[in-house]
Amino acid sequence: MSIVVKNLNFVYNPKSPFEKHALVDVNLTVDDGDFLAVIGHTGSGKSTFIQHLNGLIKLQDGVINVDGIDLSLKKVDFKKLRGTVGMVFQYPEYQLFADTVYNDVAFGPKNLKLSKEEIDERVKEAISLVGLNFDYVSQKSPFELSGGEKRRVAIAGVIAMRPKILILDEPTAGLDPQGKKEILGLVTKLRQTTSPTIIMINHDMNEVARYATKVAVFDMGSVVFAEPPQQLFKKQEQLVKMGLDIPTLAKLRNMLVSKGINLPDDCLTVERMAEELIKLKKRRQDECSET
Amino acid sequence: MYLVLENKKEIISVQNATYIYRTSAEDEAKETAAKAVNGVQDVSLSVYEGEFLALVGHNGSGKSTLAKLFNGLLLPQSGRVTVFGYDTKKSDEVFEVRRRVGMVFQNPDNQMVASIVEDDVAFGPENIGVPQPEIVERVKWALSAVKMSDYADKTPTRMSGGQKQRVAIAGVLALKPSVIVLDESTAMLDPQGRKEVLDTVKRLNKEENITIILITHFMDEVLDADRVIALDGGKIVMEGTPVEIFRQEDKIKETGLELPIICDLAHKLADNGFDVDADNFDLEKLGEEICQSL
Repeated sequence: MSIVVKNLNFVYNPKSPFEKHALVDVNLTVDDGDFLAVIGHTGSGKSTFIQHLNGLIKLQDGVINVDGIDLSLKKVDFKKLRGTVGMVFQYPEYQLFADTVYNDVAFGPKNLKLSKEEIDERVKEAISLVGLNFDYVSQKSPFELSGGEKRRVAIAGVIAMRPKILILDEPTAGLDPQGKKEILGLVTKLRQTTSPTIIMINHDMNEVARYATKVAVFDMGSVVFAEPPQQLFKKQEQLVKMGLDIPTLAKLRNMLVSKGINLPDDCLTVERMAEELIKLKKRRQDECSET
Repeated sequence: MYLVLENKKEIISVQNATYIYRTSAEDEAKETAAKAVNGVQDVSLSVYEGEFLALVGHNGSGKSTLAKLFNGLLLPQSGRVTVFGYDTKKSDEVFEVRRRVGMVFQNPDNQMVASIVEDDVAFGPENIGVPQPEIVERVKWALSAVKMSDYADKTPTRMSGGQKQRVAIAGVLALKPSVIVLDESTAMLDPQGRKEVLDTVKRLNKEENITIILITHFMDEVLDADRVIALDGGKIVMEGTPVEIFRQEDKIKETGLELPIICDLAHKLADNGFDVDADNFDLEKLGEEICQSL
């Protein structure tokens, strides 16, 4: 088990007029190899939650265990925790700071006090993993690159720490369709190579439906659902009530099912939906010709 | 659709406009061979009064450059841009241009100049010397047009992204523009905020007859546009109604864009013997058609 969260509560500005209960009794388990999407509208507690996972927010009440590291202890091994959990913030390209791409990506490993060779190896690996040409970009200033390239460099900086768990806060925000596809393709690749467990905050339900293996829905500081997208998006009414979108094809599937057309619940991508409908049509035609 | 537009009044005219970003000379020598045009090259187009025009294209296709040419934030290096007959290149006419073409940018946090919403909206009219009583009226009207009247005396810091963008739109409205250009103004918002902003601009387009130029890479945002222009490599590569544009699936993909999911599915089904309207953007209708053709 990768991450176990039990009865987590968090209050901003406690005992002041600005007191705000951001998290209320959150319970959630993330298994090794999960691709967890965290959804919920602005102010639902998503960001407060993920900031707990690598110790950016100090635990107030509850239990969190991340890959064997107990965050409720008095002395938490933060160094180990931050080597385990990599965090890619929203618009990570705004956090690039070094004079060259190489130095920016090397910043994390250098702080781990690794040997020069090891740092070099990690930087090379990270830059090539994010799909950039090492020889071409390593000595460039990160500010000479395009927006999409900058975001990759920022992700490479996190990957160079070789985190087992990678957390991304809206990694596709502000990108064009091609850029979105590339970043999500990259996340999928990282899941297969360096970081088997992915946690991603995302507002785009179509992307959630396509990539996530499990979805946690936050509403008013609590996790109201935590299940695979195939099951979750059947609960159209409840999600709409919370002000959340439903993936376009889940809407279509729910509509067709209500009309008596039997479709598998994983028809959440255009390819799968088209495939099943074509199969169904063929089957019905065959039945017709038989009788 | 086109015929209707032809009869309309041309209010912005872009004639063979070129604007190319130049970095250092050394960079240029290195990159000219490898890189396509960075900016726009030899672009001509007309914008008609009262239309809802969507500009699409991948990052770096030239959309924002074109937008900045519309109100003289950038001046064409060659060619001409005129707005209601005023030439953006003439320094004594550019203010007439800017008064008519307002812009809303991407980041809601970068566009607030005052600490109170109504002061922020009043900033534009104050600058162009509108008399005080009229400013008060304009601010009131602009805030009600974007449905933010309740926030007039609030501070923007605690508002959502969508609310901030609506205040930014009100700030532009207070100048009584004929055209509002939204340069990826929904890119940083959550679905709720995007919807608020889109509903607002659609309403301004219909009720106040304000011409809208919406720059976006969300394909579902262009479905309601009267006309879509797609840019690639600094040139116009497609132009037409959303239906006409999305029929050209291959070209859309070549341009680095995507079909809206409903279109994509409708095309795939139509290709496989389903009796569905491939030009349809309505999910309910597609659902009905699927039921009938199974």
